[in-house]
Amino acid sequence: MDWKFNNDSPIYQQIMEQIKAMIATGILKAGDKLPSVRELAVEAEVNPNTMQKALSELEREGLLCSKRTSGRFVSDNPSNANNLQEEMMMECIKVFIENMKKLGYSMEDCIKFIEKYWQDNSL
Amino acid sequence: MENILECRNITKRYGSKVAINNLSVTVGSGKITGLLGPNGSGKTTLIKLIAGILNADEGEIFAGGNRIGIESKKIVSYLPERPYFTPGMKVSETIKFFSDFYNDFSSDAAESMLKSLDINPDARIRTLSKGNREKVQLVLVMSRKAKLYLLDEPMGGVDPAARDFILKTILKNYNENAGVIISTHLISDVEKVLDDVIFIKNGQMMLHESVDDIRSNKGKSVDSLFREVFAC
Amino acid sequence: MLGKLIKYDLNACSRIIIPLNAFIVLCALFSRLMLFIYDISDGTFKSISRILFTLLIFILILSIIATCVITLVMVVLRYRNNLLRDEGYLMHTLPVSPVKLYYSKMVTAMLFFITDVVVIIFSIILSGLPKHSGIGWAEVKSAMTTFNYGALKYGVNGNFYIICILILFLVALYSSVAQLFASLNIGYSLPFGKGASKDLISIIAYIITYIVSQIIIVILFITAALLADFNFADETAVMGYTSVMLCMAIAIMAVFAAIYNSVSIILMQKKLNLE
Repeated sequence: MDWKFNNDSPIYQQIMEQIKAMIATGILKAGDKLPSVRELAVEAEVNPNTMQKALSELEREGLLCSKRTSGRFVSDNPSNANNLQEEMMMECIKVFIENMKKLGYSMEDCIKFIEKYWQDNSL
Repeated sequence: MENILECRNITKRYGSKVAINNLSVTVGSGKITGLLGPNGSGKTTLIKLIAGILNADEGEIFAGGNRIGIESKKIVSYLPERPYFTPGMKVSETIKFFSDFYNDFSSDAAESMLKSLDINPDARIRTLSKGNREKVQLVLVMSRKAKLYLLDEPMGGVDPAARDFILKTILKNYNENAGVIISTHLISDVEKVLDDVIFIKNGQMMLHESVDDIRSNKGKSVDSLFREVFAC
Repeated sequence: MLGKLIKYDLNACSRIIIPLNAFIVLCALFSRLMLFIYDISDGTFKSISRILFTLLIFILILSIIATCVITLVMVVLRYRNNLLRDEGYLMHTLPVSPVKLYYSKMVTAMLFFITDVVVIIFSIILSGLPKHSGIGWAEVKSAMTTFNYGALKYGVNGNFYIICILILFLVALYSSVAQLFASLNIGYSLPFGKGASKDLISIIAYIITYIVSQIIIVILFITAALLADFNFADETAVMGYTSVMLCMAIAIMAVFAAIYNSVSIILMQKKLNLE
């Protein structure tokens, strides 16, 4: 797992976002076992309390669950991944559209350029 | 959660200069706290007072519930900025030294850490590079199961890979019953690892907050806040 | 804990002390060998061995002087570097009282000096120099007997006298080392000066304590002499007088030693200021 943190928001929020991204993109699959809080903290080079806070929040949101003796797992709920993917996509769209508006493009322009880019790069 | 460190109205003077001015601070256990301030702010003086190699002129300090003295030294593990071994000692002898004097020291932990760093236990301290010497000291200090770890500028003058090693070592040895105080002016490297920060200026405490609170309430990183507070 | 500290101090310094003393013994051995060859040979071997013997005795004496100087320097530097400089960061954070740190240095210093003295005396005898100069066991024994007889005549036990001189030597040695350590502590405790200037202040402190202690000794002895209302013409009183002076000297040295001990320990407990 590749962790990157910036200076703007609390670390625990950034941890949550990155774990959500991993679930959304399938790096973490439903039912996967997570390493211990300490191991994750060492790997990410963050404070263990901070890591613990992030994981507890994710548990609260239902994305992770902990089984008493076996540790923490990604929730077995398959719709989680889909929901997260949608959330992330909406976030990207929001940012994209706001930027396009700033540049002065209309919705038709956006759709035209998206199609062109998709074709040219044979995606 | 008990308090791992309690300073009550500490004052320390060097001649006419007041290095620490009526400072009081409490640190709970299970926390990694950053002691941040510019040079000459009193960081090192405060750490020396807690470590017991300096005597306060006024006030009291309690580490792990003990007044500073022989009992507190049993549970405080101090890493100074300086090289503090007899240069002729071998690395293996320094391990033996620590295990002779500290009951909470684990030779096995120290040996395996040094092995993973590729440091030859038969090498004499004076033959090691500066970076390796500092790593040896860090390994020894962190191989104790102390209640309070005092690290004075652990990452000054050390390459980025070594800095990673230092942070990882600190995190691996973290436990809820101990506290870590890191004094540094290289804040951005260390910020992610801290629970709380203490800003100190002219021997007085300016701020004692959690990193999360600073980021969410003040909307900036500790590094940026530091630059603001201590702007010249 | 004190035992462990002593162990490490011995280890750190034995790298110097042992070779020095070993060299002295070697010189003595070889000069004895030369003497032996001289005795049993003639002609060229006799002259060569005589020359070598003289040379070796010369080297022996030089190495004795060197050993004394080097031991002194080593003891002082060990104390300073281990307790008052960078290594002090380690030593003073050990869960050990400064009292033990201090006495570990004193005990090892005494051990080193006494070892030196014993080895030196032993080597001088071994080297054959006394034998060569015509001093054998017979001569020593007769000198001892004469001395004891003379002492008894004046009402003093000769052996006791010798033991007192030995004790005075040990106490004076202890006091001198303690004086050096106290001067170092003074130099390193004052709030001014950095680095080399602390050494300078220590030297000044030593000179001052030396002068002051000498003055005190002279005053005490003169007072004692005046109080004793002494009549130098009376022979029998001389031995009694000197043995009283011996005991007084031992007492004074012991008091000085106690003062130096306290100064060092208190300064390390209260006024420690490592750079």
